[in-house]
Amino acid sequence: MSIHHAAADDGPPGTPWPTDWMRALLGLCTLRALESGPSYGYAIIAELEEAGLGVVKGGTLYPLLTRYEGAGWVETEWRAGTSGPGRKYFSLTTEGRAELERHRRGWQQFAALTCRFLASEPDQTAVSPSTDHERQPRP
Amino acid sequence: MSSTQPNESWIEEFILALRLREVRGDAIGDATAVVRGHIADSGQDAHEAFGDPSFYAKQLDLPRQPNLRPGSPVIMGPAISLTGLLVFAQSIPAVFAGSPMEVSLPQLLLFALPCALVLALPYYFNLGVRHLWVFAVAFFVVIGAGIGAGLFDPDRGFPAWLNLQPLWFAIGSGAAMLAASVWSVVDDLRTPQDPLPGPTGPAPAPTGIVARLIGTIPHFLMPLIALAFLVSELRMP
Repeated sequence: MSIHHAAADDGPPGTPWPTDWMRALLGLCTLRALESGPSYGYAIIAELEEAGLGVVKGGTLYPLLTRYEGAGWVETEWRAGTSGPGRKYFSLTTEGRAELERHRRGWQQFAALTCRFLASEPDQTAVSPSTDHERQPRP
Repeated sequence: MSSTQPNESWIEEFILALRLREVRGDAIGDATAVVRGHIADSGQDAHEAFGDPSFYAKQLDLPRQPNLRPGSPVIMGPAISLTGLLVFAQSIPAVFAGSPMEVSLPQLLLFALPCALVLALPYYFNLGVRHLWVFAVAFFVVIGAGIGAGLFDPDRGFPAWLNLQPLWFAIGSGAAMLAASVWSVVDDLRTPQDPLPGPTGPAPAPTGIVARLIGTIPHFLMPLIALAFLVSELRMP
């Protein structure tokens, strides 16, 4: 998977988002990019980049869109360009919108849990596995 | 920035990779048009935007429509023709000599080798297209089997494992060759043409029937070789 990362706004300049994060979220973000209406590959990539999510390569995006088309989440339509080749527009189907909603709710819950956990104070009384191991009675 | 020549080379490799995966022509035309549109929009080279063409073709995972599958007419036709030619070539000299058709066991096994290579073609065809030495090895195995079969001929003192009446084998093998060739031609003409139409342009004109018939001539290669063999035997004093 090829994703060029944008610098994180809150992080040190030039710090890229870890590849794994975008790999996990590209599908959801792609569905979100199609929420407002039909769009084509390069416009989706530009929208994700503009949102600060990094630069996604065509070689990564189109196989994903093809899978979504096979799953019935997106449908396609060719529109002839005024100059140059035509463009393949992707749009969400009813199933695609339902899938977007389901994943969005799930992600929001997961992200909230993660944020809460990351912001919490470390529990000094927690028993680490190594400590626990040390407390095992010797044979 | 994109430049035409590397992009066209990339697209050619991409089409070949999809063809080898036996993707339908219209799906290939669609995927190719997406690549062209994307590189026009982004200004990137095809390799920069899509990476290795074979890997991208695999990643797309487009639906396949396999033709070159084991047991299909594309494979069975040539396999039957080749077997027929081998039997014909063995039986005709015996017919003219008025002697039985004798075949030694090593000969029989060596005759079976080229037929097995044809039947196994679906398993190594893609590899052969990517690495031509695979086809070269198969070709030399066939030639070697032919030479080897001559060396193990019962005329050279090897015990005859089969002792057969040659006339019926000559007629049967000739008929089998012709039938297999006609079967291949009919299958060829019945198989829908699979051009690569662009999604927005007009569909390519279908190939005319004359051109399609000319394209079926190679199916008669084995009967033509057999005919040449028969003529040469007739001319021999």
